[in-house]
Amino acid sequence: MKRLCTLVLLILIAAGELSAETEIYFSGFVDTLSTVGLTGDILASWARFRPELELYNGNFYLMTTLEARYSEKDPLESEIALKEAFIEYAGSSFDIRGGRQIVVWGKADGVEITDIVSPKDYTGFSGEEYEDTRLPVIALKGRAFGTFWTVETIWIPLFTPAQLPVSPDNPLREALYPSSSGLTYQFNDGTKPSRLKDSEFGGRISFFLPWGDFSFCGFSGWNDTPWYESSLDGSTLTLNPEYYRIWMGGMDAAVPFASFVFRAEGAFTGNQRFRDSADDSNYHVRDGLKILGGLDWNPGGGWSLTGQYFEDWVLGHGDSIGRDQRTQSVSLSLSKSLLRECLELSVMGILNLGDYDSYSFYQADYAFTDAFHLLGGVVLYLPGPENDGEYGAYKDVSNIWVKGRFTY
Amino acid sequence: MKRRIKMNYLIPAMLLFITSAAFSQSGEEIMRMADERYTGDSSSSRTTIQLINKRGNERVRELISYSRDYGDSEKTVMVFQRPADVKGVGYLSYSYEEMGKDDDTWLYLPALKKSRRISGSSRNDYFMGTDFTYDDMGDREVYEDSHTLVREEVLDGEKCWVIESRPLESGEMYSRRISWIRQDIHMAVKVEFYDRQQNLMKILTISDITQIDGIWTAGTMVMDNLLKEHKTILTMGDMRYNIEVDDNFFSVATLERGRIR
Repeated sequence: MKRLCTLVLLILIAAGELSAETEIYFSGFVDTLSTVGLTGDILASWARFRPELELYNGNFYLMTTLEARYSEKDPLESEIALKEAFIEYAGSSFDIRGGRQIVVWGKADGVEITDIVSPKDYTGFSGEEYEDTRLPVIALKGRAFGTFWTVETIWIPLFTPAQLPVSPDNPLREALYPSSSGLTYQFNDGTKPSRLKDSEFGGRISFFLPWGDFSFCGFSGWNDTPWYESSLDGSTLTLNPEYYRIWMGGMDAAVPFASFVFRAEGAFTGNQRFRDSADDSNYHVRDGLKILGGLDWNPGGGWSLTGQYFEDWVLGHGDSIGRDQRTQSVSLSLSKSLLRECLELSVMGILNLGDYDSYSFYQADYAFTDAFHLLGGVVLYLPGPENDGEYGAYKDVSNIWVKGRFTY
Repeated sequence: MKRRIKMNYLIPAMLLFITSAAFSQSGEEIMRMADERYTGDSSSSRTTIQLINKRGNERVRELISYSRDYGDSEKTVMVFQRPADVKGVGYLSYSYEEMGKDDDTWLYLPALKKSRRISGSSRNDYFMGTDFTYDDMGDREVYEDSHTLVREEVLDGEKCWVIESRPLESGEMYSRRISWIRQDIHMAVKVEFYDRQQNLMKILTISDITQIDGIWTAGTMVMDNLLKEHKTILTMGDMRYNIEVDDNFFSVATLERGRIR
């Protein structure tokens, strides 16, 4: 909080000192969400204010976004936090951006394959937008580009882990760590990699050609989601997060044809940890492979359809790994805009082809005015016929939600 | 499928300059000359879009666009400035003269922080909730219709050619279009659109015509959708031709900066 106030103060001082050529823009939104579980319990209820400040001066650009959130259901998630805050220098064929920023890679929808630079925020479960699910990294990013290509390099001197639903009032925690087990869970903060030699690095080269786009990328960093080393003392299970080094090499492509766009993405991730099949406290180090193929179809009339097929492999599996060597899933999303784009209806579903569990949402977004949108939807986590599966584990978090947003 | 989102060339493409039409020229010759006329090597504009429904309620959009003509292709970048809920949404498109060659199009959504390769939408789709289809906005090629010079007529005190255009293929949204072309400045000032049942569907009216950098430019275009009782008004502002704009400006990397102004 102290650092945040200092940063805001510096920005305001800088804004005051800037010349008359500086252009300053304020924008942002206020929104509020209420979520009710299918059992009738209130699962989430919060309101937030997200102001954004932009300064333009010649080739320099500064952007900062704050987020002030009040959560009635989960007071631990009430906070005032800096979302993004970076300064950028932009030339005609290069740019350099330093500060807190969200970096997005890849062509897949809703599946992270090469998109592992910015960690995920796993605390939300309804009414989320993409930006809500990503955390900024403190990074220095440089790009050089021409009309048909871009080379991007990124240095992340300070590691940011994923945000997990460990707050006692977050219903996702109950799904992951059920109190019915009779255990009390103690989540420790652990030690994050923080030395300069612990820096993360990445690079990506992209091409944008008449017949299609494709990219190659590489990344060396830390696993965003920690491995929990556990110790049991009576009925208290203490969980200590451990972060370990991984690396990734991947590629993606998007090829348009008539009203279709074919998409593909794949990544080889080295040095991952997988739980032992017999001993939860033990793990094995293996490499992993993820591949995805997808198809977008825009037939006109405001319709949009996307289908994806995804596989996740553990290489050198053996019998000792506590998950299948190969998991497969398919996703389908459909949206339709109506009333001159005032109303958008959308449906999305993911089916796990192993346990046949699924996740799906059904959403409506109506713009009463350009500034005020009312959104509502249903989120369903359905277990498989024999096992809950990855998505079915959250079956008690299936919900109905409504959200209002005022943008200025 | 060709799909051009060319706000800067929207007016010229729709309004059909005719460089040296003689009375004896056929409708097709006039339209072809108009389509091939010089509209500057590059241009930029700030366009305000007013959407007005039958109750008189109004919604306003504003977008900035830049275009550059490369002879056999044309590159356009277009970014919404307001309202706030679509601010920063950007399109980049490369359109090709070659018959049958698809446009290359990318969409940048600030909320996703990345650009996305997209396919061409249906040419009969309406553009961003307006009463203009992509075809109306200059996507349609001369060879796709038969054109007949119907008569000469004085409209609002200006002598005009009246040209009827009918699609050569079936299944089009319009059964015919009738265009009024001012003879003094070779510019269309009115277009009527008829649906498949021959009902008058929409009327486009162009006004506030001025010369900017030697190029006649329409300041206001009103598309009155009679069937849906809805109206779209485009007001062109800050129109500039032959501006200095770098090749790299028309790149996905620039689009992804998300701050074209």
